[in-house]
Amino acid sequence: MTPFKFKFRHAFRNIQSKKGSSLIVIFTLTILITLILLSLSMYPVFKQVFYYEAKEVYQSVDVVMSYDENSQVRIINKRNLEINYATEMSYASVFMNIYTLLGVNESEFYAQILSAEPHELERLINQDISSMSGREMVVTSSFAEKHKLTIGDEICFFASDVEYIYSIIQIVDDYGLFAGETVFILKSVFMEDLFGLSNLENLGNTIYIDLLSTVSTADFINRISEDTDYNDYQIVQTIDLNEINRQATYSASTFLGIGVLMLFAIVLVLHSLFILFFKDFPIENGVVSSLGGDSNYTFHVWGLELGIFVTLSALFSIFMTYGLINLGGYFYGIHHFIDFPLYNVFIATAICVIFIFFEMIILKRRMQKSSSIAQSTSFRYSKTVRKYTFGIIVFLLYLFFEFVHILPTGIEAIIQVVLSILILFQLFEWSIVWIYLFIKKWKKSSLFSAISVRQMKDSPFFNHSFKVLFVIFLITISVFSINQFIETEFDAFSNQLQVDYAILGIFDYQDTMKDEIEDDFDVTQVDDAIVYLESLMHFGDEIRRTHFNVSMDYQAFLDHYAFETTDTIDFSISGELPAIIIPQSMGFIYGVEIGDSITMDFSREIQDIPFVIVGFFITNFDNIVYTNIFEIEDYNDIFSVNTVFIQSENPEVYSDLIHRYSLDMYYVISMDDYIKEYNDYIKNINNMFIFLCSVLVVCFVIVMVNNILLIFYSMKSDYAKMIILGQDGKEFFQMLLKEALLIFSLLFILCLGETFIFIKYFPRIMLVFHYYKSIVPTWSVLASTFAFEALILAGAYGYYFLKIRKLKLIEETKKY
Amino acid sequence: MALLVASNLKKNYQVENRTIPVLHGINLEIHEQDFCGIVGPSGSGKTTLLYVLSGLEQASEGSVKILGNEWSEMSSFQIQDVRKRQISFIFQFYNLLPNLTVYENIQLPMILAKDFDFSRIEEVLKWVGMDEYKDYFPNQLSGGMQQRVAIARALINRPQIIFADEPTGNLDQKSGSEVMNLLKKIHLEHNVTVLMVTHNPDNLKYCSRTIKLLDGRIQSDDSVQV
Repeated sequence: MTPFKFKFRHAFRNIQSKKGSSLIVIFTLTILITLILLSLSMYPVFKQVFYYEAKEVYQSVDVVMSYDENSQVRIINKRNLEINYATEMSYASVFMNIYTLLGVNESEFYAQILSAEPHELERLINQDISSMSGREMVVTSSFAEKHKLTIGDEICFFASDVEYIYSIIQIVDDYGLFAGETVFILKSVFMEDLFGLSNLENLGNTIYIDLLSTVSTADFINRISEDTDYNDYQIVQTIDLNEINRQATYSASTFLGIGVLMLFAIVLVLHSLFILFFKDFPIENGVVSSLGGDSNYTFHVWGLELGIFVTLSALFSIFMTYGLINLGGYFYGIHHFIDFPLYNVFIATAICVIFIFFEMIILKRRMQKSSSIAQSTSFRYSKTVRKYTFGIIVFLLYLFFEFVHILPTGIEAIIQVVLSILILFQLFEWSIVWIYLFIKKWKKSSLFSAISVRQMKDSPFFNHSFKVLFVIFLITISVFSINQFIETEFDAFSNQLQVDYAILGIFDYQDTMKDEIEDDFDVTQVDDAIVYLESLMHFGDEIRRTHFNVSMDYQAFLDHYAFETTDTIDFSISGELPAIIIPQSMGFIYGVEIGDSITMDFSREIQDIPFVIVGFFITNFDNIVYTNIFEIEDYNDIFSVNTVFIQSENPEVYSDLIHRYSLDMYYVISMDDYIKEYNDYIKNINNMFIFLCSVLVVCFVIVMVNNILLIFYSMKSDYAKMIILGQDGKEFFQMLLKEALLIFSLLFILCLGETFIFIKYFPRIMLVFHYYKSIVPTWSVLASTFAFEALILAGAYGYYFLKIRKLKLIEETKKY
Repeated sequence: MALLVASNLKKNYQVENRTIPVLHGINLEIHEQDFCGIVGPSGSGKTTLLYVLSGLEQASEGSVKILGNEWSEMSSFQIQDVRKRQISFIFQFYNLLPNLTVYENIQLPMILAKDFDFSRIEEVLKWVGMDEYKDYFPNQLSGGMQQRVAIARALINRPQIIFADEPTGNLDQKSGSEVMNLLKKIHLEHNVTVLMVTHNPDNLKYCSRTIKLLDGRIQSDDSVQV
């Protein structure tokens, strides 16, 4: 037998002999590696999620060409496209699509009509469509289900006050572009109804293009954008990687914000794990040393043990991470396999191994200072070392960073949170000493005062376990708060939103339209505006897409969007340049202030327009900006009114507006529906986030239970001796009950204190990851978190108590 | 020939801020073929003397020469080498590794000494009467059996000196006698010098020399013809 084989066998025997703690070590390491892996992989995972989301909608379509909302040209002819780009395209299907009201019996609902030839729809959705003729219609299964429709039912729609009746001939599963509130009809019939003309098969308002695999989408878009036949149209790449990257950053940032706390927890958990794992190490090393071996032998054996644990844990964590992200993807609605970079497994494992390695080096240095006899007898009874000077230094550092700001805000926030946690750790240690002294002086002696409180004061196992519990409490509070924030965020925005309806994409606006709406509809306020969707804002080198870019009379804007501002708005500070007001969060993320300049791209033709920031809106809806460009003369030729905002208390106004304007190819939107739709979209992302956070909480709950069991493992031989001395179950129960209550009370007080500090810094920490939200936990969140934690603690202590009852007394007292 | 020479040996312990002297200038020589028992009341410094003589603890003052070399002048590598090949220990609580079998516990010093002639393990196990228990773990054995395994482990690398710290302190009378007989057998058959700390006056009958300690000083040093 070679020395290596012997050491390997020794390592294996050690693992075999402590199955309980070995399982805890493997389990905890698996969770830790998984958590690090999730944090490292969050960005690439979200990238894939958004990629597959686009892919699932557009399938083989690479480019969509449609009319520009602000352009007068609304009909596209695909003939030249098929002639001039035939060698680059697999197909180009031209559709005529509109949003309009459909009616079934007495009810009306807003839906999208897709129209083309059946084989063109087949290309988009990979499903067989029946041959169609006349006024026949195919509907999605979700549409049919929602409106209780079956084959043969009739649906009508209105065009120029004429009612057209279609009958359903097929119901197909929702897929890609043909999903939700969508129906399909023959384009030839539809065009004839709309325009009274036939043989318009090359015409439509949307072209879906599938490029050959050898053709670069970006190159194709560049070429076609310069083609005079098509450069008036909006040409969009279905999978926009830049946009996907932006969305991924946005979505990953909150998780990474908690990741800072998580990392802290992981370091603490690893440390307490290390204490448990190396509990018997000095004893074994002492024995080997008396036989003439050096500490390398023991380190090799234990290194092999760790190697086995880490290898198994890394393998398990790969499966666990794959399972979690794909389950998360499933909650988001992705049906593709989501991958993550496997090299992250090595990084995550290396982070754990490096930490453990440093712990081993420190232990080795410590052991070199003591004799083999001292090692083999005294380590188990080593006491917590209280570092008062360290506490004072940490407190002074905290005060320093509170008043002196020399680092970036986000980094300073991370430092302050870490320092505040360290201060509270010190406070905990001092509190325990005070409690111990108080109990010693004033309370009569009991198992609790003799064992529990002394253990709390002296045991390094307990000390570290408490710290782990503390950070887990904080993480749980953060996760619960974020979930609650997500739930209520849109209600808060809805309350600020006063506008009820908007008519967008009015390419031929006349002032008479506003009067017409005021006269013909039951409305309370109508205002015209210039609105651009999805414009790009340039903050120096950084680009941000904003959903709504609104320019109109400022007072009218505030009538429709009741936002507060951080300062009184003074438009004069922008001088001759147009002024812009942006959400406060954008100001924090991009570090801009009032008086700073930014530029914006509105469309392919309207780019690099400079603006001066004159104020910030206080709103959690960070996808809207206001500009006064409508009143700047230099831009009068470029921008014209294209939107009308309407307030009305009559819900029927919506369908009336659609009847009147949808066939002009204006978009009539209900702001409530729009917000709901946007909310649903965000909630979809949040479902994945909440799922991952729930996993996080579950993982840490397991770690929490493990840590309480670590206290048990450190104490079990003492408990065995106490049972032999005659302590009964009732006394143990009382002792553990008091111990759990004391721990919970300390956790409650300290965590509450830290929560208020953490709330202050959390939004700033998220700035590091390019995100900002003002997240404040409510008292109900705090109460539910503490109730949840109390339950977990009670469960863990219950299990602890059972373990004491099942102790193998002889075995425990015989060890060493 | 003196295998072990202690001159003016002092040992102090630091407890919190107090210095507690345990050994007060011990002068001692241990010769080849000695079977030396160290006795004395609790706190007299017997175990400390054994640990300092065997190099497990460092002396505060004075010197200890083992097989011609000064402990304090040896590198850690040399100390390990002496422990691997020339001296061995037997402890009151056996100090067996609980996760290794009897066979593996005895194999361990050989692995450390890079001596791979494992056939001797069976021989030594037979010699201490534990050959039938080689696959047992220490916690499956009685105290007497564990101490026999510890003796086998001490013997495996053919040491010149065995340091025994209360080898029968944890055993009943019968097991204690068996252990003492084994030690005597080792001493006689393997020509091993034994230095033993004991509380038990019965054990002294196996010794050729008895050193009595009192308050960290040698009170008497008698050689007996056994």
